[in-house]
Amino acid sequence: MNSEYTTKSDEELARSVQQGEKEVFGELMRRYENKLSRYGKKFLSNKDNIEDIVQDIFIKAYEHIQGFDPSLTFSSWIYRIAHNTFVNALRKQKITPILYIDFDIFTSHPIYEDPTQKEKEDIEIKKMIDSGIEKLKPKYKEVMILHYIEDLSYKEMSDILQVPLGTVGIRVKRAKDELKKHIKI
Amino acid sequence: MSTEIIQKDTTDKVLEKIEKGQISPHSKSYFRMRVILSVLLILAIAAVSVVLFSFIAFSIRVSDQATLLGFGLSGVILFLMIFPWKLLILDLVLVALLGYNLRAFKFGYSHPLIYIILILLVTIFVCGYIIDRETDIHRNLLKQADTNNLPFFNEEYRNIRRPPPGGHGFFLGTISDINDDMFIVELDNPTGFGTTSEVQVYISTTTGGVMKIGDRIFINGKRMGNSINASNIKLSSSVY
Repeated sequence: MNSEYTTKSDEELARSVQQGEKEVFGELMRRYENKLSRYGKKFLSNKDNIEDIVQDIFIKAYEHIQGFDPSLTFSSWIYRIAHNTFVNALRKQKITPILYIDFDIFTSHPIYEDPTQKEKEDIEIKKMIDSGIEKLKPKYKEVMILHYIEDLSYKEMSDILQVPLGTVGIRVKRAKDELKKHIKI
Repeated sequence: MSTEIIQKDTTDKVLEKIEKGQISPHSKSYFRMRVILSVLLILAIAAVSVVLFSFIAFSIRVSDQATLLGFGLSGVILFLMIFPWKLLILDLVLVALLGYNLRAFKFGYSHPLIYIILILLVTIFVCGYIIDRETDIHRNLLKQADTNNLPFFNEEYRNIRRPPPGGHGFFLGTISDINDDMFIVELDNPTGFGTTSEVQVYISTTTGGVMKIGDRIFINGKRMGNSINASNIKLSSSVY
C-alpha cells in the first residue's frame, strides 16, 4: 500500500476519494476491514457470510462517498453504514426482533460516571464480554461491542446509532447489568 | 496469514469492481436532491398538520361546542362525542411522522424524541391557532362550502354549522321572543342551514345571564312536542 496515505487522516483520504482518487479508497478499506469484520462477527449470530456483508458495507460507502461531510468523522460515518447493514442482516436472519423505533429514544436519560470507578469497571467488563455477549439482546450487544471492543465514545455511538447521548448511556448501563447477571448465573 | 489473504480478497474485490466501473459514487447533486426532498416532505407534512389543526380550532370556535362543557357531565359527554377525534388523531399521526423524518438530521436524533414531538406539537398548535384567529382562510372556505363550491371537504365544513345531534337533550337555536317564564326559540335545522321549528322553552332555573331577542342559545332539557323544559340555558357565540 502507498506509504503517503498512511500518514493522512481518514477524513483527508475520504476527501481525496471524493475528488476522484479511487485508489485511495483501498487505504480506507484496509484501515476499517478488521474493525468492521470484528464488529460483525460479534454482532451477528450467523457469521458465515461476514466477508460478503463487509464487502457490501464498503460498496455502499464508496457509492455514498459524496454524501460524507469531511467536517465530521469518517469513523462514525462508516460505522453508521455498517450498523444499518448488520441490522438488515439480523432482520433477514429473524433471530431477534429489531424495532425500527426503540422506546428508550423517547425520554431523556442522565449520564453520570465516576471516572475512577469507571476505569476499574471497564477492565472487569472487558474480561466478561467474550463469555457473556452472545446472551445479550442485539441493541445491548451492539453498544458493548462499539464501546468496549471498538473503543468508540458515547458521542460517536450517538452519531452511529442516531440516538440521543442519554440513550447510549442507558443502553450501556443496562447492557452491563445484563452481562453481570448472565455471568453470575 | 490466511486472515490477511481473506482481507486482501475483500479489498481487492471491491477495488476491482471500482476499476471496472461496476460500482461508482452517486453524484453530489443526488445527495443535495435527497436533502431538498426530505426538507420538502417535512414542510409538506408540517403544513398539512397546521392546516388540519387550524380547521379543528375553527370548527370548535364556530360551532361553539366548548360551551357544552359548562353543562356538567352530560355536556362534557356530548362534547367528547362530537369532537373531531379522527382529525385530531390524523394530526397526531402527522406530527409523529414529522418527528420520525426529522431523525434524519442531527438535531432530530440527538434529543429525546418526546422533546422533539412536544416542540412540534406546540409549534403546530400555535401556528394553527394563528391561522384560525388571524386569517379568513377557513371562513372563506366555509362560504364556498355553503354553495358547494369546494372541490373537497364540503361536508366537513358544512358539518360545522350543525346543531348537537338529537337524542341527547341539547338544542341550539335563536331567541325570537321573550315572555315572563319562557323563550320562544327557533331551533337550528339539523342540516346546519336555516331553522327547523319554533319551540317554547320553559326555564326552571336562572340562566345566569341577560338574554335578549336575537341571541343564540344552547338549551339543555327535555323536549315534549313543541316545548322544552330547560334545566339550563347558555349563550352561544356560534354566529355563522
